[in-house]
Amino acid sequence: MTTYILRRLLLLIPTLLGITLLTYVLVRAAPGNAALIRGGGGAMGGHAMPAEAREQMIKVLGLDKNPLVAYGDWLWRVLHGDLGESMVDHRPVAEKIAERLPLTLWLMGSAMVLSYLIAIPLGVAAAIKRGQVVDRTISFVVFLLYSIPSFAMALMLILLVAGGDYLNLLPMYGANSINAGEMSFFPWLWDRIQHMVLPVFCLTYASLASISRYSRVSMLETLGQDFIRTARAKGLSEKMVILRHTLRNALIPIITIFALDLPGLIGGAIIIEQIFTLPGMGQLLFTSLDAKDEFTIMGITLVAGVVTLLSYLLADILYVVVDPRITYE
Amino acid sequence: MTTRGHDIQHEGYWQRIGRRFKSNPYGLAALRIILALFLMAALAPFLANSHALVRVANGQTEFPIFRSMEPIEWRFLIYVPLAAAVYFMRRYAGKLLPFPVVTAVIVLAVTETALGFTHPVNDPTNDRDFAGYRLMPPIPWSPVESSPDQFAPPSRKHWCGTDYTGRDIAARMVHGARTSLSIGFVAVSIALLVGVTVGGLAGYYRGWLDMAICRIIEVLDCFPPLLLILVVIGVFDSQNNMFVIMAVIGLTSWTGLARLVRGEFLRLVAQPFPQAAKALGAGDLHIIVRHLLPNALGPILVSATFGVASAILIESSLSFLGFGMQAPTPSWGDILSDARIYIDFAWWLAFFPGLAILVTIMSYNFVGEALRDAVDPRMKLK
Repeated sequence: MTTYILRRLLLLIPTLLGITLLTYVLVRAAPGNAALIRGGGGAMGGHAMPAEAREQMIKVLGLDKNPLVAYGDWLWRVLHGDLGESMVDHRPVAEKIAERLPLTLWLMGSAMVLSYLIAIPLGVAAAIKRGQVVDRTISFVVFLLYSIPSFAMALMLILLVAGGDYLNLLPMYGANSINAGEMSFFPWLWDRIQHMVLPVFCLTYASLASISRYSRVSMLETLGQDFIRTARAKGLSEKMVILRHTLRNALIPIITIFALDLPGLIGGAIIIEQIFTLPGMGQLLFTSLDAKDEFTIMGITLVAGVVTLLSYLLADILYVVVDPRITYE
Repeated sequence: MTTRGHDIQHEGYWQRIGRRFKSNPYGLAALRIILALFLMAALAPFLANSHALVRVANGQTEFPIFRSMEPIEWRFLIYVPLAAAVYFMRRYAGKLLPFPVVTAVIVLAVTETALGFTHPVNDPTNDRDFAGYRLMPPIPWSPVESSPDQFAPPSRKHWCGTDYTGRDIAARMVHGARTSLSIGFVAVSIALLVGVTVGGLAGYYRGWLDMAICRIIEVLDCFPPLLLILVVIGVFDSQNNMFVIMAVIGLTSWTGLARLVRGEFLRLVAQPFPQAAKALGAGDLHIIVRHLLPNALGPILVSATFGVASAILIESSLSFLGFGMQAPTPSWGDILSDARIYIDFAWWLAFFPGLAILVTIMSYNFVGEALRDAVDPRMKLK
């Protein structure tokens, strides 16, 4: 097992090199650069900044270097634990990411936990009542929800319950109210929860379909196994059969799916963060793309790539941990 | 009278899938909705236009609608009889349409749609106030025509209301269907070509090629959602270009298909029939195209159907973020992105395009779902 993990960790290196190199090449290949955009006009060809000053800025930001040399420089610095400085405000990229991460973890974490908490019981219920009205209703409703684009849902919700012409129950945007800094912990928490209700809902409902389907299929497969028949034959109550024998075994594949969902925690949600003006990772990524802030884009891609690859590895390891019948020897 | 057993013996793979698909009422209904949407897209100039279908002036009968139509709109019309021909010839489809022909037709359709797409021109003339006899289309507004009625809520005059320059939303929705539907279709065709080729090569040849391809797929899968698309779109100068959007969505969404095809090929190569073909002296290409691909086509089709739904969603997300098709070109995502600014009062700007996207995506998902059940031989149907 240890050799397996070590081998997998070694395989991360070429993949990460590929991800960062591809990002760098693509960002560089795009017309315009951070200096032009900061200098006003940018790709649109404005003249807000004198040509000499723009040349100066291009030099300072290192944009005049050969892309491969610049990539090498960036890589060398990353190997020394430095993600570089933002080309927009010269703050360390690591600091910018660290500042945005907590909110995204809040948002995506609650959405993820909620969707599993809702979807697994739905899947189990559908499996127990297989083919009956309950099963068909659940399938239809989660499928319907899955098909609603999250941004259309977000807009309609804002209109209906957050300060539109109808109800005004929840705040429309932001992660906290303006005066959140003066609040003590519990009022702050309440304020935060109110701000999170709509975005978290918009990030939750669509994922119900896949998780409930997985748990339904997994339950059905387990229910068809011999040991369930044995459990029933020895006279256990249906409740015991479902909760103790079936559910526990059926949840094994769900754990690995959970691990595969983990990368979403870091990447954030560009669209939902944009709509609700939440300063999270998705928004940082979007504004960096707009400003051609190369090092910030690279930093986010690298962090997201590492987390994604580690989650894949974790999923494979969890397979073995929860099911001793599988080995990678 | 033939016996039932005799019939079943002669039922081919696709006939069986077709029969099983038809037994699913949701899937069938969804398929009909998609066909209706395509029909609406093809006939868009006849459904929403500021020019009259027929008008009579001074005893002269004129058809102004045809004069106002652009070449591309004529080309869209060709698809209607073409689709009807395919529908009535479907019985012979198995014999007439082997894989290379299908591929050629898809490639042709891709280039045709992409090259032929033009942005609508604002034509200020209209026949709404024409004095003599006139027969207007059901929606007497063109999609790019501004009017003084800004932000009119839905009424008899404007079925779905108007936007900030007084453009009729119903007309924009009907014409916008072209953008969404053709982008979904073409992007997935591109993804299919790349994904099937790459995945097929990896699964058939294995070894170092497989290793390299798997690394590439892993690299592409590691990007956070939308990031890769946004970065690639940034490379192109003219973002408001249908072909760029189609190509970028297609070229960034083939990895799932490639994984699927690779897995299917790995499974199929180990079976006796490709080995028998090889023993008879068949070349690699022949084995891949004639023996492996037809056997993997079911799951590929299912995955492609879901792919269309997600491509439509991605396109509308991109327009929403300001990267996809933008005004004046009508697109559902673009109407929604206008809605974001005026959401406190103009609910119709969000509701109607949102509903259109929902219906389209849900139909594709239901068709995919029904196809999945039809293709899976383990699945028992009532």
